[in-house]
Amino acid sequence: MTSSTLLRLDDVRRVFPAFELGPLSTTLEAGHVYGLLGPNGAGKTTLLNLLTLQLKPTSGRLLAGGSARRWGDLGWKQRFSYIQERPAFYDELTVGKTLDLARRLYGRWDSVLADVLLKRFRLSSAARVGFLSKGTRVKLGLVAALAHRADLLILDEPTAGLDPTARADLQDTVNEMVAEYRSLCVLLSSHIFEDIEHTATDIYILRRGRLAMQATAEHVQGSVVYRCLGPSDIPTSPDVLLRWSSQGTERLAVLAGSPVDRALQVRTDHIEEHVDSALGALYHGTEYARAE
Amino acid sequence: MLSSQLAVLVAKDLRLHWRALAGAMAGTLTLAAAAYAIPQSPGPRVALVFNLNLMLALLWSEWLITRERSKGTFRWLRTLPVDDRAVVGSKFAAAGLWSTAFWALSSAMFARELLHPVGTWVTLLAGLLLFGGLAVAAKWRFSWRVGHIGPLLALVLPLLLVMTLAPEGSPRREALLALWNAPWGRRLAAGFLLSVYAIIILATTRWMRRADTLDLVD
Repeated sequence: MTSSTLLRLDDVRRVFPAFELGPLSTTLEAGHVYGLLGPNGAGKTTLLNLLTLQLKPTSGRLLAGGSARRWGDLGWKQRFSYIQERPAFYDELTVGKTLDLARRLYGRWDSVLADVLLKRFRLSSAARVGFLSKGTRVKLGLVAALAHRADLLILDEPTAGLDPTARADLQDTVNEMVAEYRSLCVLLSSHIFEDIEHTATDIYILRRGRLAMQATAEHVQGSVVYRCLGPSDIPTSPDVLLRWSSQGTERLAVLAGSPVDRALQVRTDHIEEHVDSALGALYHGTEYARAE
Repeated sequence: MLSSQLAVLVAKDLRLHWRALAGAMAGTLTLAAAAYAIPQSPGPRVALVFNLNLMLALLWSEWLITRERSKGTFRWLRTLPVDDRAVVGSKFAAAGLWSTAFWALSSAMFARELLHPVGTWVTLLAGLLLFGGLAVAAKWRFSWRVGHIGPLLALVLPLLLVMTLAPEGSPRREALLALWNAPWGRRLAAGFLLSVYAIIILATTRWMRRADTLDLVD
């Protein structure tokens, strides 16, 4: 656990009658934007609910600031902001009254920053929350998150159901926030590749409750996919991001320019495949991947 | 910290519902006034005022709990650094304050005889608080159907039990009336009702502190 580690998951697991998430172990670092990808039912929202103490883990620990976070830990709740898919603010309240309620309940609050952000997002204090679009509700959530100086901002499918313009606008907003508040850690869940490609520094792919892949965005974007004409003899290595097999064909995703990539380029039993999106290829690959 | 959060949350509920609250109170008082204008003995009039209060206690619980469950706003509250005890306390406090205010207003206007002796008024208020608390707890903790029917059953079943086991004119009924009319009878009844009310609040707080947020929303 380094000084920039914001949160560590230690074998966190949640068991439901028909679904099990985990055990998951990973760390979230300050200044990083984590993109959490996964199909519906993969456990993305369950994971976010565990991190934000909305769900009790069946086993495992959440460690922040060197100590395990207990159920209902108000100190931890001060440090994050969780913006759900459709933020459930009180429809009858105005934007101003909603922020006023948040201000009274959070221990720390920067009113000046809240006003600046309201102007920047073109949000009127007098607007009724019930009349706001989904994208604008997310922006209201961002104002509350940043005004209370959250260390961790958790966004659960913020762009789902938005039109392309609103989606691009929200992606830009998140990017601007991250650029401006460099110590802020963002965890963004989505099943839209574009959201993740545009914002994330690190990518997690969750499948059937397990972390199927974890890599930096740089590695994912700089990866090359090879189709193997027979069984591949390439050994496990950090240069091999993923190895999967579908319809009798084995594929490897390797870091471009790495020794493995250079070795494969000259071999005739491994053919480089053209892919439109490396992330897309890896995402589909995780469906058939075997553990590295 | 806890008390300030509680005050903020009660103020929030008042801010959310004050128009509907004022409208419901005004409408109910108008209804009671219309009934008051009809010449009748005090018994049915007092019963009407009390029943209207019971009805409003159900309505408060609907606004305070069912609405937040269905709209998912409990989910947002749960992400904020708010103590679960403050969330539970604020709902019972709001329901209790509104019930007390309307009971005081409606009985002062239309059922002043309840104030002599004052013990009757206090005991009925304790009954109202208990019924309102039960409605809040049931709607929070159980499904929509049980949440709605449960408090009504809890109200009707003891009455049916008394009517069956101690019918009018029976020695049991006489004994119950003697207990009620004893110098400490009303105090005992009010104390019992308030004790059950306190137990309901404690049990709901205990449940809430253990519940996943998914259990708090529909």
